[in-house]
Amino acid sequence: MATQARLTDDVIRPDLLLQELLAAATGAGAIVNFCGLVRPEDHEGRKIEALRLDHHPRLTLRSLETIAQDGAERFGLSTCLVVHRFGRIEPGATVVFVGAAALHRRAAFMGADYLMDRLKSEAMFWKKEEGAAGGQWIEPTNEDRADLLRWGN
Amino acid sequence: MGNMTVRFYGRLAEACGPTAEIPLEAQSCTIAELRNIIGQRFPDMATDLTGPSVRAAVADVMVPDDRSVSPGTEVEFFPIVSGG
Repeated sequence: MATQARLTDDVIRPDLLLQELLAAATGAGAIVNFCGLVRPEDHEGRKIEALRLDHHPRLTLRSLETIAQDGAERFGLSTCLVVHRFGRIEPGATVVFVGAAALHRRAAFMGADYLMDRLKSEAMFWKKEEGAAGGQWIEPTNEDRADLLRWGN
Repeated sequence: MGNMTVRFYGRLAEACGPTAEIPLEAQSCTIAELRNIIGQRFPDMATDLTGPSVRAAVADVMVPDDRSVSPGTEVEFFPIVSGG
């Protein structure tokens, strides 16, 4: 596996991905994994029925691959897996899985943190929160941008 | 002189549809001119389309506003990405 990014419209099974990561990360001393879930409410407390992610047929996967490659190189990750879902996703479901394996825990923690900060601002998706009152398109927040600056990006 | 095929994503696709055929009276135009032509067809999105937050791409590569394009070329317009 080494470094891999995947784009899917199917349900993400973090348990299976972690198994896959464990099998692939031979020689690693640490694995950190992260699951991003669709929240049940928006920032103003309104119920979300679904999160819709539009994507580009080629450039979205390319953006995920670039981020995964950058993270693997920067933190010396022996195995790096990024799996992102697109389409209509209901609250509670996993929208993104990140796995980072390294010789030592610090690199694995920082690698996963870095990957998520890059994904939150740069992954090529257009997201819309859909609720009873309609929907709203989401853009990176100031907090997302500040998170990215931590890495000098 | 021919039609330009344009493709939209995100909020632009919701307002303009995923694709549109834009008739062009000249043999070519710049991306900036194309933005204005599309803005006239979709006035609600004109401010977005002519603003800096919407980027244009040809053949999966971002292009500047002075790039010349001609009928037969597919141009894609991207709003600010949401991130993952």
